[in-house]
Amino acid sequence: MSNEDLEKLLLLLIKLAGLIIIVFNAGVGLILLRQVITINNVVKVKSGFLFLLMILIFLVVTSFLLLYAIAI
Amino acid sequence: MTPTQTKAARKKSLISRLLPKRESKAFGSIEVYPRALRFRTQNPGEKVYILARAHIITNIGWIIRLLLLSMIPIVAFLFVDYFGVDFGFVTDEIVVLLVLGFYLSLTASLIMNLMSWYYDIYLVTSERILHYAYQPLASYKVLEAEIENIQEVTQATVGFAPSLFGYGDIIVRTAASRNKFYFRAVSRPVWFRDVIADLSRLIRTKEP
Repeated sequence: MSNEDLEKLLLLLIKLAGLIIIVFNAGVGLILLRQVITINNVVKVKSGFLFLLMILIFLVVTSFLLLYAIAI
Repeated sequence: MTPTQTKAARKKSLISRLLPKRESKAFGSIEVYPRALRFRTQNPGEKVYILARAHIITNIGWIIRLLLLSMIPIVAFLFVDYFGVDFGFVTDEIVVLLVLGFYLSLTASLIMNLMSWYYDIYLVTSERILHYAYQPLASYKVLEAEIENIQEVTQATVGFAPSLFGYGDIIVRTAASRNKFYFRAVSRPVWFRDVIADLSRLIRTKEP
């Protein structure tokens, strides 16, 4: 395997790692969204909707990042 | 006014003497008569007297950890610049992707830790004490004990930080349950213990 092939392989692996991180975070965001909806149904606290908003923004940013990762 | 109504009014006035007005203490760690709070299993006529969560200072550990972690990319860039390490084959887009992915993970961790603090709450109502034990991505448990059955309330402030910032654990032992009911790291533990003990005594007493 030449040096150039090795670099390409390494680049691919790094990109794959980046993709995995982002997909993992999207999963975490979705689980948190599900949980926050459940909790807000069980006990309504003052700033419950703020967490909902925060997670939704997080998911939007994650999806944009995922698109970016796929595009490059 | 019937004798029953008189007793109820007297009990109510004693409770209002114990908890006179709506207030929020220690950055919302303790709320007396919390505003806009409802829970699913709330009985008709059941009043929420206190909402408590762990003292805000208990968050300092993960805040410092996240702050330190957020400096890693900056330190890495400085390191690469200073020593002139060349990763020529790694394009700028990949670096941007990795850095943004890293900060995304930190943001997820921040949200999880905040939720874990904010939604892990203790409620003292006119009928019971409840603990909504929340661990993000793991579990959500609800523990409750009848306020009438409270037999012993213990307070423990152990350590440097609890003594400095005024928080501690309250351990409640009930007659019905062999288990103890823990209020962990609540603000103003002396006041809290006193209020729980007095409320329990007041609610248990048929003749106030």
